[in-house]
Amino acid sequence: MGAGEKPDRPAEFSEAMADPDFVARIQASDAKAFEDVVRAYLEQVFRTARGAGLDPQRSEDVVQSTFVTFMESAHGFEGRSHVRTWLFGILYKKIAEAHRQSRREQGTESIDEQMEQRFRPDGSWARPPAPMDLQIQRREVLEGIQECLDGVPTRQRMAFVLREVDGLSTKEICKILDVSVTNLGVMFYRCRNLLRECLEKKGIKGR
Amino acid sequence: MIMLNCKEVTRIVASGELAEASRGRRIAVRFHHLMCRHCRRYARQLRALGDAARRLWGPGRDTDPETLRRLETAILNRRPALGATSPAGRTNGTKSSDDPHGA
Repeated sequence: MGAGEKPDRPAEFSEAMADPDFVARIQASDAKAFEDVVRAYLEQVFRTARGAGLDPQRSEDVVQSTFVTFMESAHGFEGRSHVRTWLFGILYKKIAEAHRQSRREQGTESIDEQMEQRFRPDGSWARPPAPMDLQIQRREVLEGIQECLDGVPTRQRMAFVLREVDGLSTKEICKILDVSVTNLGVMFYRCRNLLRECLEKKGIKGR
Repeated sequence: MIMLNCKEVTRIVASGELAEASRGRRIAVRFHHLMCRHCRRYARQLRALGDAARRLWGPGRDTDPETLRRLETAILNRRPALGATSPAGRTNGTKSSDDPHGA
C-alpha cells in the first residue's frame, strides 16, 4: 500500500511510515507525505488530547498546533524513532503547555502514603480494596473517572491514556514522555491508584 | 517458586511490570491471585479502569466526523507556507534530532 492511501490496516500503514523513503519525504517537507501523516493520525491525536483532559475547543487548538509544529520541524526528523513517536512527543508538550495555563494539578506523593497505609508491615492488606461495580455501561463510573483524572498530573495521565487507550508499548511511551522505564512504572502505579482511590472515595458501590 | 505478598503483587500489577515480567514472576502473581480475593478484586478493578478509558476515548468515541474534517482542512491549508518557513517561524522548540522533547 502506498503511504497516501487511507489506512485500512493501521499496522501496515505504520510500517510504511517507517520506510526510509517516507522519512526522506517528511524531511523534505513533501506536502503529500504530510497529508498522509495528518490523515493517519488526526483522529488518534484528537482523541488523545481529549483523553488528556482538554475540552473540545482546546483539543482542536492543540491538535492544529501539534501538526503545524510537526510540519515546521520535520527537517530535523532523522527517522531514528517512528513518525508517530515524534508526533506524539510534540502533542505531549502542547498538552502540558495548555494544562499549565488552565489547571491546578494535585501532588501525587500522597498516593504513595495512602497506599502504604493500606498494608500491614508483612505486606498483607490492612485495608483491602472496597467492592466497586466498575461496569463501563454505568454513567456514574465514566463520569467519576473523568472527574478523578482531572486531578492527575499531565504526564501521568498521558501515560495512562497512551497505554490503555492507544495501546502503545512501554518503549514508545518512554520516548514520547521522555522518561525511563522505571519512572514510567511509577507513573502508571500512581495514576491507577489515584484513580481507584478516588472512585472508592466517591462511594461507587458494587461487587 | 517466589512467594509474593499483597503489597508486592499490587505494585507489579499497577506499574505494568507484569506484562514484561519473567515467567516465574508471572506464575507467582497468578498463584497469589488464586489465594487472595482482595488482590483479585484489585486487579479486576484496574482492568475495569482501562476498559472505561477505552470506552471514553477509544476509537470511534468523541470524534465528530465534521470536527475532524474541519481540522484536517485547517491543518492542510497551512502546508503551502512550509516552503517559506524560516527557523524563526517555528512555534515550538523541537530540536533537530528524533527526541521530540526539544533542546
